[in-house]
Amino acid sequence: MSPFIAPLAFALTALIPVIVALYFLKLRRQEQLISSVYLWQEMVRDVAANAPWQRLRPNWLLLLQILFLVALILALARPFSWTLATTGDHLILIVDTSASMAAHDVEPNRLGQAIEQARRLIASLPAEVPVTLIAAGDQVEVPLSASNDRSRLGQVFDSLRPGSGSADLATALELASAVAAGEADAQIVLLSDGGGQLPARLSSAAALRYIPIGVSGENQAISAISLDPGPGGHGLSAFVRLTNYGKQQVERRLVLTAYPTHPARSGGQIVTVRDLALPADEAVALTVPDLPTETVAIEARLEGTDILPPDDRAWAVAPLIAGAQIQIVGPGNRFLEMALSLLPGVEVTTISPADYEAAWSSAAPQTTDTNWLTIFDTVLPEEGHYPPGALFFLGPLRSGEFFSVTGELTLPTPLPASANDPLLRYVDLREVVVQRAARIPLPAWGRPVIVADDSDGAAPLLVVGERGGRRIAVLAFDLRQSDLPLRVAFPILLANLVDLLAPGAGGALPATVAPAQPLAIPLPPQATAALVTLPDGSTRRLPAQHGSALLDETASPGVYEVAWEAEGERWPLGRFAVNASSPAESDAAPRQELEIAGMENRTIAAEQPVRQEWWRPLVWVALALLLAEWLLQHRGEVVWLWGQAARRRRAEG
Amino acid sequence: MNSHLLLEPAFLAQLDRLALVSRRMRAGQMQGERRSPQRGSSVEFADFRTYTSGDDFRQIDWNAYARLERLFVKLFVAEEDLTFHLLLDASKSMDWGEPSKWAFARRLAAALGYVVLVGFDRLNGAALGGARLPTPLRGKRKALAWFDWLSSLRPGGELNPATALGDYMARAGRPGPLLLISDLLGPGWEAGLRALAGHQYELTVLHVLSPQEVSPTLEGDVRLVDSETSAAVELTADYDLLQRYRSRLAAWQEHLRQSCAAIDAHYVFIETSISLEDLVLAYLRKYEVLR
Repeated sequence: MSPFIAPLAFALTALIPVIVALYFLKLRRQEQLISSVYLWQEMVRDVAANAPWQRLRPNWLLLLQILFLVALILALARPFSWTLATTGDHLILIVDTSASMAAHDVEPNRLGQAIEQARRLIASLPAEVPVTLIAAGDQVEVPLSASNDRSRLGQVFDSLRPGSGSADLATALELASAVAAGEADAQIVLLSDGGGQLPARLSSAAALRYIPIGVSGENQAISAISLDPGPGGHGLSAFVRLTNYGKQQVERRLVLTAYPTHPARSGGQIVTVRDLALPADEAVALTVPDLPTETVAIEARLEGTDILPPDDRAWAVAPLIAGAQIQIVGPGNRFLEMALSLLPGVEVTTISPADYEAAWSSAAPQTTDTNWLTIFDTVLPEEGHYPPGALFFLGPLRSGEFFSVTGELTLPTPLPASANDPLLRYVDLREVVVQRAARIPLPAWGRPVIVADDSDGAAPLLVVGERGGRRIAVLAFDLRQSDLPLRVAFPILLANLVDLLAPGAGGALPATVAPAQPLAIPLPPQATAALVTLPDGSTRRLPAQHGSALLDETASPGVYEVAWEAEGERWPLGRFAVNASSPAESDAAPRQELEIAGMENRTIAAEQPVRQEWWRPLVWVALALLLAEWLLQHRGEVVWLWGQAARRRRAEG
Repeated sequence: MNSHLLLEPAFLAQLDRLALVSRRMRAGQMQGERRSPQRGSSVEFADFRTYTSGDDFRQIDWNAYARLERLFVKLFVAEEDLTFHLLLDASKSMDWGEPSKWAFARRLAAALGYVVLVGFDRLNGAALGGARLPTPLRGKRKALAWFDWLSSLRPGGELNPATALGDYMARAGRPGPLLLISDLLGPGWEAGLRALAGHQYELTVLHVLSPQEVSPTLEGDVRLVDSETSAAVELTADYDLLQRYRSRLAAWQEHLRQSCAAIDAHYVFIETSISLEDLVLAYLRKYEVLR
């Protein structure tokens, strides 16, 4: 097929011989009378060319005129080439920026290839068509919305980097469909390797094109790693699972390194090196027992190369070193200890009042400083012997620093103080029997949660509040004087109370965190800040807010160490690991087709070629040739004018 | 034509103080104001000569006779007139340009002729390709006749310079300083000038060209027609061509200058854009044509 839309324009080539003929037969010369042709005759070589055929020598003007005509004819013939360009009123580009786009099975990597394809698409687009760019990483961003600014688009392309999570294609596609809904002829182009979460169903009027990026899925990854107590609780053992996502069996070497401290602070000790044959599309698991006892973190590394290096390293940390610590001061309460031990990530210790006071009188009262919550079960410490952290008084027998006991209630009927108190969510107080309770007037710092219907008005049975930045709760009756501990309501109420008094205690620090996921670090109530050591050894100080601190710098894989700080003292909290490997991203084989319900007849797996016309540059060439011809013809005047202007500048200067 | 249109009276008054330079002493025909190789009756002593019969007694140096007892005659430098020849190219090519070469050349001839007449020298003139001055003129009173003759001239026709100069030489009589005013366009001028120099003429060539000949402003495809011969050349005037023309003109002028130097002739190039007053009062004095 002819690569010209209007080949009839070539009929105009007949004008070329006409131009040549006119040039040779130029008869209409302007006649000028001069004094003598004596000087002209001698010098002008042109003059000798009275014979027409002597003019068949290079003539720049004629050449330029012919070239101009050729360029013009070519432009009129509208040449085109088939390209994978797009058309429409609005181009919505979705570029996958997930971790698997860092795979270098194509040059420079999949994201680079996707950006190159996107640039190619945009280059073929008319300048007035707006472009929206959606970057689909683990979070969907719209760095450019309906913009005609191509240079800005270029800058945005340059700023795109492969992320560390998987692509949220579902959100990206739904967002693109929503953007396209308001357009008459919008086109959505998805540049991705097809890995990531797809929408269950998508209904969009816009045309959707999927351009697959990537050619190979030959990738191996450390798909699981953990560091656990060894059999019988002795020592530590590491568990590592390696998965070959490729189609060929490969040999890779696994190197396992144990670190006694944070890996950034000290070198590790290689504990095992193994050459492993990884069959195609299968996983190999291995356990390495008897690691050094001081190990706090291990690193597994696959040596050799595959298309996606980030998932060839993984870290695991030793089990939790410090959860939320709750101390019970009292004679011992089995119900209470039992209920508290059910809470995740909580360490409960019980201490007798005598030992408690002994610890206060000793020189090292700090042992109690790390407690998140101290429960005084029917006892009160001596005056001033209150530890930092939250306080929970159970069945106090006498007045204390925070409340007064003015009498006793017999068989009070516990009732919720307000209908929708969050502390009493799922707590059923009906039929709860309390034999005796202390009569405690409502302290100025507190609010009643449970009250008893009394002849003198409502007497509080459970008071919560905050005094001097310290959260306090008082339960007016001894658990042993009630059947509350036997009811389902008890652990729920206790969990709610602990959640209120020591908010961080509800959630333990996880052992692993997905890359770039923000993490709420649970902290004791008295903590003022959390100190996080990043994998590179640098430290971040995060202020505590309501019993937790938010860490959003979890993009780099490695080991993170967390401590908390109160009154200038620093206490370790735990560690966690961030690993780049995720099965969805490590399985990096590109998908050639995407199946999305609702888009079956519009989903286009292959690119559709369209015609790209080339008449614009040809018209520019023709104009340039015309200008060159004019300048050549009138260069005498041009030089003269130039000289005049230069003289004027000199005269003015 | 009214001869007063040729030159302004104020300009004529300035010309009264000028004289044409002659580089050689020549014998004249009449008493004049120029030193002659002849012995004559001026106040300037030249030599002694032994008395021979027939000599003027008044010239005998009696003091020498007293000392030597021999008769000697004192000889004095003769002061005679000179014959200046003023040739004006009256070919058709001179009647061209803005300002016109012909008008300019005729006014120049008028001024130079006036200077000759004021200096009590003999003036002979001719229009090459035209009429000759009927008789040589002498004295300031003849200035009007000179102007009238110039005014009567009309340029036209084709000129063969060698022939025209030869004709003039054959009838001019006594050679002397010769001033030629011409555009020198065409072949044959050099041969004619060489012949004049060979006959003891003391040549001064005043080469007159119009500004349009020095820097032509042609453009595009043109057909140039010779005003004298009607010969035509066709060319495409562009920047290159005009550049080459200017180079060619410069080379031609240099060639003429060297040819003139070879025959001991003065060569002065004049573009008609210069005012006649400036030319005569400053430019020609600088080139030692006038003093």
